[in-house]
Amino acid sequence: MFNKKKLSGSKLAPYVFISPFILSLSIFLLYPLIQAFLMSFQEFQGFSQDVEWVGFENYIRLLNDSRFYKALWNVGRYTFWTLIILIPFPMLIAFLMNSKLTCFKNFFRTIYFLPVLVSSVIAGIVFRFVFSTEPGGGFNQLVGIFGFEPIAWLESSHTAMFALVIIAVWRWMGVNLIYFLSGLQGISQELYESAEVDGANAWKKFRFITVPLLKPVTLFVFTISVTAGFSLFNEAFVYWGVSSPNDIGLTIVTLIYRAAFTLGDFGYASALGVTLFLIIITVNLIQLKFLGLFKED
Amino acid sequence: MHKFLFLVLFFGISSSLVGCGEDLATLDENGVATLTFWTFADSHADYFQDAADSWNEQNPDRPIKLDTTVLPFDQMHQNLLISLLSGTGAPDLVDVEVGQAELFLNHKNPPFLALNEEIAAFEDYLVPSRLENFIVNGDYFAIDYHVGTMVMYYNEEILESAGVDYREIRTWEQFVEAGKVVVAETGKWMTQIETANTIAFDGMIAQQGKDYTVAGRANFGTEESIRALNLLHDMIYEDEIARPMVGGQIDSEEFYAEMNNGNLAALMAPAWYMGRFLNQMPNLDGKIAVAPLPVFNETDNRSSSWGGTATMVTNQANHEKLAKEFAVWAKSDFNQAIKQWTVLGFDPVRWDVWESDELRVANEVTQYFGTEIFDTLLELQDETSAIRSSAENSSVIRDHFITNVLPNVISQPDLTPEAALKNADELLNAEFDRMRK
Repeated sequence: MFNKKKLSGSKLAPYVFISPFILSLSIFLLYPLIQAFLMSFQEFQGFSQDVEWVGFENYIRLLNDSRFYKALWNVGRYTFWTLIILIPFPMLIAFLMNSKLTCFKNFFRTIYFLPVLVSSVIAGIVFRFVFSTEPGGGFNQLVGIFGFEPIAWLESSHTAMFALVIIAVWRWMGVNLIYFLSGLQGISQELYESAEVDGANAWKKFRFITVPLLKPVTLFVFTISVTAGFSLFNEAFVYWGVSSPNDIGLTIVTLIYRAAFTLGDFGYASALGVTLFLIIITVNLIQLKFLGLFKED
Repeated sequence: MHKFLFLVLFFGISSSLVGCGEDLATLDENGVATLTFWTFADSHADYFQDAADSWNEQNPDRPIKLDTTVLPFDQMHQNLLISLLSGTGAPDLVDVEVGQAELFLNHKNPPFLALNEEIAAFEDYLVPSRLENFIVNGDYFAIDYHVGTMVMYYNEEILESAGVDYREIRTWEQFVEAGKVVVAETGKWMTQIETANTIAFDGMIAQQGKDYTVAGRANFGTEESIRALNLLHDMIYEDEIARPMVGGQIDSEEFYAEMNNGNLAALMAPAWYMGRFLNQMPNLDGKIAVAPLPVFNETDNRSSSWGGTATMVTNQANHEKLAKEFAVWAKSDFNQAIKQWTVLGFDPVRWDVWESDELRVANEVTQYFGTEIFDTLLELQDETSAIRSSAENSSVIRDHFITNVLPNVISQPDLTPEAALKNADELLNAEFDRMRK
């Protein structure tokens, strides 16, 4: 028997409100996620609709693929460097910008945030010219001032990593800064004042009040940085396309892109995608455990 | 009331997400058939629109309306791949670039309609190498837009000031000797060597009648490949007449500027590169001569062909017969082939139009390069056989060459050409063997 009263009014409203989100989440995220997982156990037979279930074959291939390890090594290094730079520095700058003594705060905030508004593809194209092998390229002019020969930035492993990290720093410094600034707003001014009374200097205040109390924000930034680092694609793609010299710009997402759209190998591409997902989850779980988030605090 | 609201919301959202697969290709009340066409180049869209107009003039009883969508290169090929895989949403006609053709054609049953009957009517006039890339199991699937005849573009101004006559360069040896004179006299490079593409290498292999993909396996270790890569390497590091290419490949902004500034005397490139000269290198107007490629041996071809785009009819086409006829006619009809030159600036796929007067009419191309280009291209028409860029595994093999061979031989040499090529064979073929298991 249909109960009119139960369905009406406040009980239904929340579901209506969340329905757009639930719908788009299931269509654009949940369905592809499940489908990719299933596809990673399949092999596609040309353009016919039938697929063959191949068990763990795609994963075994992946474990034997030297390019997968090369890509993992590349994004691992990239993530390491972005974490090393993009957590302490934005935190420090946020601390300085939060200080009463700093002038033109809003101006600097805007300046730091501007790069985020530039599409990563456009930024990548500009940076590609800046890292040109020719003496006229931006960075080569810079090293020229110090008397160095022009460097083929995008042709060897270390300088290529530098080029990738530079663009990440330029782009994400402002975003992380905003996260840390918002975290700082939540720290009571009284804590700093009482520390001052006890004779703490600026460094000690930063070290013993700011850093510990910013832990939730730091965790959040760490998590999104790991995810972004391991899923690096745009910048590397704009620098080199899918083929970089000696695979110095190869990333896991480049491998997925290549498997799917250059080779039509959707099963293998899905296996790579699922593996990337597992890697990111694992790294994040490790850091959460390491930073003690599972402990009751 | 709330339930109603919920339903409205639900269906509102769902309906905005579906309903994109509407069938456009039906006859309208005037009997006009709509054909959908996807391409990645505005110029191809213009060419086909013009072709549709000409078709309608000649076939008033079977009129068509062309509904064209131009998308960026990668996106168009990806959309096509997805729509063909899912069996819905593909257009009637579509452009597939030759480098992507392997992905689409290299199957037992390619998702396109064979054009055997339609092409048969024109076959005698078509340049054979332009059909070969798109034949699968004996079925013809497309015709190219152009031949892409490989030629040597010489900067006459530089050569003259060095006292070199390009007409006397017949072999690669003579090319290198002339290069030494150019470098000594002018301080400019004779040429530059690609580090991110294989146009020159492919051309040198093809002119010796070889290929580096044979039956799905890498075949780099041949005498011919080693000879070609040695030449490219030595021009930089032994004879010092060349440097690694600025921008890595001929289609890059940096290289356009380099060429336009008159920093190199010769460039090996396909005939379609004439368009780049016209649009990107205004300084070289009237200074560029087009000549056959130098050869390694007397029996070698003085050209080959490179690049291209096929127009195919998908297996989801609504007006199958009409689409097939139109796709073939638009490329192979005599007057259409002339338009490949006049509208697109490409070397036409029909060899007989090269001798026609229509092509000799002065235009911006003849103004830039002089009228001799027709004689050069005509002279080379039997020498354009190319490597098969749609062969099984060819894109993996080519990718490996760009990522592993070129960097270690040309940009930062730490391997001999022979070692790098044999290494590539070993690695690639071991991988193919593993995949076959």
